[in-house]
Amino acid sequence: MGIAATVVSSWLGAAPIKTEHAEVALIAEKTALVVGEKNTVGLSIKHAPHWHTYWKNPGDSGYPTKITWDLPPGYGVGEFDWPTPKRLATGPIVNFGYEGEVLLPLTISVPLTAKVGESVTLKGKAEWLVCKDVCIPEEGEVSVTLPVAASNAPGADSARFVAARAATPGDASAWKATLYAAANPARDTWLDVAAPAGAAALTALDVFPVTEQVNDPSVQQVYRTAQGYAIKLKLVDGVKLPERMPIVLAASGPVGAKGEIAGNTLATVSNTAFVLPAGATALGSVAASADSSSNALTFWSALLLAFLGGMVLNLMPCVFPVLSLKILSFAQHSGKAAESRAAMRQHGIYYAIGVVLSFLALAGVMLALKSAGSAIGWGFQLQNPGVVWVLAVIFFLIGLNLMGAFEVGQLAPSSLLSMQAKHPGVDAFFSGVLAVIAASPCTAPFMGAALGFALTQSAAAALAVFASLGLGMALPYVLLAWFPKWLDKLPRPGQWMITFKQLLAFPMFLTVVWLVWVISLQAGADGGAIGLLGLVGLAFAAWLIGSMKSGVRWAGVAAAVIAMALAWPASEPVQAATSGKGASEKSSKANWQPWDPALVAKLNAEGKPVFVDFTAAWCVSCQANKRLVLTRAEIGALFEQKKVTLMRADWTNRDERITQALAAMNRSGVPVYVLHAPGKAPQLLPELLTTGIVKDAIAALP
Amino acid sequence: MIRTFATLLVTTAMAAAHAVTVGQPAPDFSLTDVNGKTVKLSDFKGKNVVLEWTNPGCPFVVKHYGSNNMQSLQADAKAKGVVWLSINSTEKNHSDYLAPAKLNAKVNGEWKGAASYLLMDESGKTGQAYAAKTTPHMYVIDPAGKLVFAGGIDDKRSANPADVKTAKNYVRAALDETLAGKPVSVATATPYGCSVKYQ
Repeated sequence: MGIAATVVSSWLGAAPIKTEHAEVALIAEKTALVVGEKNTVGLSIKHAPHWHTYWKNPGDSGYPTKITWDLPPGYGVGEFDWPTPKRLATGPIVNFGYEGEVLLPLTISVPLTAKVGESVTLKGKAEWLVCKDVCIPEEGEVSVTLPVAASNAPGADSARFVAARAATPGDASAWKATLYAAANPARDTWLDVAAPAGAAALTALDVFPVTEQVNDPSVQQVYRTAQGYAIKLKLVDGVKLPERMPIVLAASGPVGAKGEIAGNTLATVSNTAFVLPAGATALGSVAASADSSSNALTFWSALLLAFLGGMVLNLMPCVFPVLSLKILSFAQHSGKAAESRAAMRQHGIYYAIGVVLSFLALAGVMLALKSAGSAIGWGFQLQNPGVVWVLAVIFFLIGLNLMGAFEVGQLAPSSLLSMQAKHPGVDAFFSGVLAVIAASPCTAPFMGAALGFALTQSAAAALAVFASLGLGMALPYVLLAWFPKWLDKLPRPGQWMITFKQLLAFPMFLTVVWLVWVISLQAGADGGAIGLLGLVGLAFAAWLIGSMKSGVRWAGVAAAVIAMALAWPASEPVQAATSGKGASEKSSKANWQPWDPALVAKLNAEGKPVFVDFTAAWCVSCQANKRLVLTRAEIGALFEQKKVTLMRADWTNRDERITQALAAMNRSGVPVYVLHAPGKAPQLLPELLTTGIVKDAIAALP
Repeated sequence: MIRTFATLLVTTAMAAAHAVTVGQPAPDFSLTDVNGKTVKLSDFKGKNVVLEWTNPGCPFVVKHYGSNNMQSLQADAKAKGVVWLSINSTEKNHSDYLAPAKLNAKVNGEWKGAASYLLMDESGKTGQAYAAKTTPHMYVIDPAGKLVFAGGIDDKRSANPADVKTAKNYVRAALDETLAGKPVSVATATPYGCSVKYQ
């Protein structure tokens, strides 16, 4: 019992130093110092709420906590084993430090001459800068008195030491880092980090340079690359970089050799420039992502969302024309009594296969293009006027066919249209393909997030998400094929069918109007006019084919080919007409200005809210939202009342900045509506707007 | 992700604002002093100019004024024809904020500050244009309008007034060298102090 009494009486830290902002004390891990063992003490800092002290690299301001020791002869002490800090932002000033409770462990070296039974006091002057919105330099003498013993046991505070070690960065030397510091006026620099084989994908990564005054802590943008991560940083003025720069990587998953979520590594400094690889996607930092669970979209929820999004696609205006075509074909099938149920089901399955394979093909093309080097997003097909032109021709031909200008089957057997007629399975398959091509620009609710997720994943995961999207889109059709009783509610065939068929030509022509309008935005008024002339040529050709004898038919085909060839220049993009000016000015009212991210930040800093409409001419949902909601007088008045600056990011033609901004929001398509309220995180509005949704969002502004 | 986007926007905007670099022209600004006079940096072309970011509520500023270090530096500089501009970028709603008259009474009255002008920058625009991080944060501009020094006032990062005597004062050294027509040997130094209380 004598030993216990000694322990209790002698293992005593001095009373903690209490100030209004922090409680600071030196504490020991174990009950005694033992010669030849690792003896640990630590400086405990318990901060008042919202106050903080600093890491060894304090960031923009502040200074690290330190102790000036006054030790007995022969005793020594190492440096603090700094736990991984937090990124603490106050306006534009960013610091690295600690809030709440922190323990800074220290290793004590005990001389071999120390005698068991003697009592040792370790003391020193501790100095720390404690800050909230103001900074207070504080100091005080800290000490702990411990017996020297032959053995020791964990003390009352040992759990805090265990916790501090767990919070200390481990060894991340397997993460090969290179700092590309080619001189440039903006002092931009890139840290390229190659992840070790088998490392899990991180949803967030934070970089803490160990050395002070190397980079500006407020600038950090993390991208995921094929090999790992690339982090854009900014060097401070006049910095002299060492050959190897120590950094701490802090992540959302293990980066240390023993599974720690933070680790130390040495970045090799290179004087060459770095180019962000194509396909790199923006990633949140640890601090930025801590409160947003939405970007932890798991693989399975992405699949489910893609599936639901695919189903909703059927209701999108750009799918509807194709869907109405299919309803017509159903009506035909249900009309033929001889048509077996099996054939119907087969038909539905072929349609589903067409849809899914098209999505997979699109995903494949997208992945290929991604790796080939152009940063593209969903809907990219329609950013190419050539593709728009081909679609306009297809929809126009379908319209003419529905109107009865020519009959399918009169054309050469190799024609796609005749294939549709002769082989029901192939017909269904191509209907599926057409539905997908038409659907792609309309990013339905749910679909944006799922696509954004898919683009940041491995090729296999991306393909799975796209397949799920396709299955969702095909499901309603397959269900109808499986339960043809639901079709019984459709009227019997008769004269009405011809009328109905002709009626269906109008959605096709409306689609053509929209496509030609897109061409005119992409290629200017001349391009649009040439496109229209081409369509008139096609109509002439169709009339020749449909009404004349077989000899003339070939003339019709020749006329069609000539018309398309002559109209082809319409597909040449006219940069002057489209970049920055044409599209956005023509399609918007004067109070909408082109999107400028720097201006958004500036206006927000001045306390002014900004609404951004990410849109494109070829996106029908975007146009519907614009006409039906955003440009309504009452909405305009509300925007004006709250002094909201309106900006439009026009993605009609490829725009790298917009593609990147969308990727940063986990979206890869439009529409996206963002309300930037000063001092708040930007608010994303749903992709299908209603006046109520927009009114509520505006009303919530201060 | 939304916050990432916001961070991206903010950092983009800030990167654009942080173009100030030693060896490059110092960005011009126009601010009002505590007596209501408008002062432009470009008014002092042809002279050496010192910019001092200040906030009397900051213990590090108190260190340099309480020890008379800042005032003597200001007086010596002015005696050599140098223009000294003290700038306060503290935002209006911060507890450290002092209205012009009170700031004047504190710095020029109580502390006997000797700056040429004591300037108000409540919006923080000028502070951010210079990427001023701390109070104090010091800048020296040569007669051609080129920034020749940016950083901490000295090499003793503490709030202890006793350290002033033993510290190497970078601003004094930079002024002496640039007045003698020599290049500044220590052109950047770690700024230390309280963070600037921006909006």
